[in-house]
Amino acid sequence: MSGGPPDLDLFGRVPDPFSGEAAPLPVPPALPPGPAPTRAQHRGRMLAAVAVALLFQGVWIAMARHRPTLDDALTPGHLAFGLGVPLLAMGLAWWAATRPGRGGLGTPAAALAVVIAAAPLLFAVVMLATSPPDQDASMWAFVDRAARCAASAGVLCAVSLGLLAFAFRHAFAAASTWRTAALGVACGSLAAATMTLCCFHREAMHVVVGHGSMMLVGGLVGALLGRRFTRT
Amino acid sequence: MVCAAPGELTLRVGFGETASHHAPPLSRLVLSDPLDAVMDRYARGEDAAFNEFFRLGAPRVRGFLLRLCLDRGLADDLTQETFLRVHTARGRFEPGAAAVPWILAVARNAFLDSARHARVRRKAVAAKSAGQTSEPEAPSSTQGDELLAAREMMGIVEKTLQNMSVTLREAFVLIRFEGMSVADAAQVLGASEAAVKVRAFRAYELLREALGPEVGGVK
Repeated sequence: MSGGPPDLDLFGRVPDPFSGEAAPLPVPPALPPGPAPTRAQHRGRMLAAVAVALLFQGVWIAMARHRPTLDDALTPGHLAFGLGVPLLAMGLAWWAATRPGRGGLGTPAAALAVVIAAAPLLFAVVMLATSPPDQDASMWAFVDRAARCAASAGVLCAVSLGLLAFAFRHAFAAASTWRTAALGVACGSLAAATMTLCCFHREAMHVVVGHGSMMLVGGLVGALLGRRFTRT
Repeated sequence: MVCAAPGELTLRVGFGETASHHAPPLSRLVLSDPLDAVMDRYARGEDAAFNEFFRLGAPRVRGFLLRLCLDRGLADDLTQETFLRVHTARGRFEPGAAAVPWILAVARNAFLDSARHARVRRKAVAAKSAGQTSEPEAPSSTQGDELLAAREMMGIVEKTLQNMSVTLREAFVLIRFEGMSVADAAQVLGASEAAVKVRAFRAYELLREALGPEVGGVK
């Protein structure tokens, strides 16, 4: 490409090899029996998936709150940032994934990419800035604790993402990879918020790696699902 | 040369004409498109609107798919597949939105799925090698030098489109042959405007190289 912005008017110089095409149209396809889902049914399915996902998080929190040491570890500041930031990230990612956008084709891909990158980054930066430093004596102890929390967050994220992928199957006509990745980030963010209430470790790197890693993993899994599963 | 169904608003231009890319975005242009109203009715669950919806939408979808897959038989199959997908997903269509970009996005998905399918690919290649496809119908008066030259150019364009990657081809087809703005094409392709612009221009460069001085004396 030569320097300067491309002049798209030049495209008109390329002839259309099918400009004289006057072939008869194919016959209309035989439609499957039974009515296709309506808008209300799609909305109901989505709300049901969200409700079940939130219920699952609630049950998980209720089970974890039985641990006696948990309340001592949760300071107001930790709660505010540990809950507020992932919930903000979740809301942002959810909005980007589900808004109709121009022409009903959703948020532009560039904006989705920004949201997908910004959500985990915001969480990591705020948690590193506001959480106490890690006190683990060894690297192995840190990895062990982080892996346990990451596994829990993974279960929380997987359940939410599975439900949403089912609710949004064949829903995205365009940018399905990006939009489902944003859904994955939203699910990972929700899992990170839930882990704040379930884990008594609040050291910076532990929170970022153990609780926040599912924001990235959720995004990646969502991108994979978006290639086939949620694409119209 | 415009090939469109009655009532279909189109920016497609043919040999010797220039597409305007400074025109308003397609999403605004097609607001008065009868297809939008029919799509709205159909998306609300009015099954009886399907035939009219197909009659208005199929020429546009088939034209797009034909330029994308360069195979008439496959384009027909994919047109049917597209309308099946649209039927299943019609409840997902946003009320009041322009129908064409949404349907073309669905058509593109159908094409991408078929391109991934090895059997369909083999069939397309076999059909190609048998010379069954993509040779433009020869008009009765092909004796003239200009017509022969034009036909040769069409063949070069078709071959070059076929040899370039799908990502370049789809960007170029949407902007050049479907008359979409870069912003609308980016929405349909699920890519950034900058990326779509670069892809389309790369496709143009390949076509310009293949056509050489025939393309308006660019070289």
